[in-house]
Amino acid sequence: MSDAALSHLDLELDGQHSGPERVRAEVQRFLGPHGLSERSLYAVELVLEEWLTNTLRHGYDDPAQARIGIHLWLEPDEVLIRFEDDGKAFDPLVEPPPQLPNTLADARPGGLGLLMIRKVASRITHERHSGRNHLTVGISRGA
Amino acid sequence: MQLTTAEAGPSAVCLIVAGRLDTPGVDEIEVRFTQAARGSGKHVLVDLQNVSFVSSMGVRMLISTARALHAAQRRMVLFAPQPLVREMLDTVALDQIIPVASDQPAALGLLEG
Repeated sequence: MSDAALSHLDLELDGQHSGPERVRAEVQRFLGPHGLSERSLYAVELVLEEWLTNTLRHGYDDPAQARIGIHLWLEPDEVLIRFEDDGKAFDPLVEPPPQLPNTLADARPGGLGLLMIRKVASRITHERHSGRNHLTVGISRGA
Repeated sequence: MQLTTAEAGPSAVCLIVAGRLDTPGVDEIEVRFTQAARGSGKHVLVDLQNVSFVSSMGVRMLISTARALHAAQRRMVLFAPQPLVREMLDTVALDQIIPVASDQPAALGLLEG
């Protein structure tokens, strides 16, 4: 987090007791006074929805065991979100993009969440250390 | 999420969706949406003007329903998505497999064309 960070929010998603909807509500409340564009707000909500859903569904054999840290902070030009979880190792940056279908018969409904995150993010970094995944997504405030 | 159904001519029904097509929204509406589409026996228009948010789960629901209709020789056309929703649909090139129109008359035109 740089010295220019203006404000931050720390949350934990507990797979047993509280879910993505609570996180979304808290983030909305936090971002409300900061004058983000509608596009930026949409992008933040999309990243939260896609990454948390993906982690809960695929990162844990039992989603109730999930503990996902969400750290959100504001820089002058970006909103940054860092996710930390102790689920299965997963680096989205090495996942190939899905093959988009040309016909309904070819369409496979899954695999689009990462594509959407890549579309709205200004930057994405991933690390795994100490048995935890660390994903940081930047979203332009001027989007 | 809200779902209402309206007739859209002799060969189509219009499913009017309102709210967020995110994970909880899709969980709430998917069974009713699919039943309304498949049970109509007609082509299906989907009115998106009051859908404020679509995630990959929402796209998945639309694709799954469109595939079921396609198997029954029926079509789905989406119309009037809000600008940011349209951007998300374009990101996944959804209009390559499910037509997206600006309004209901244009959507009906795509069905009849």
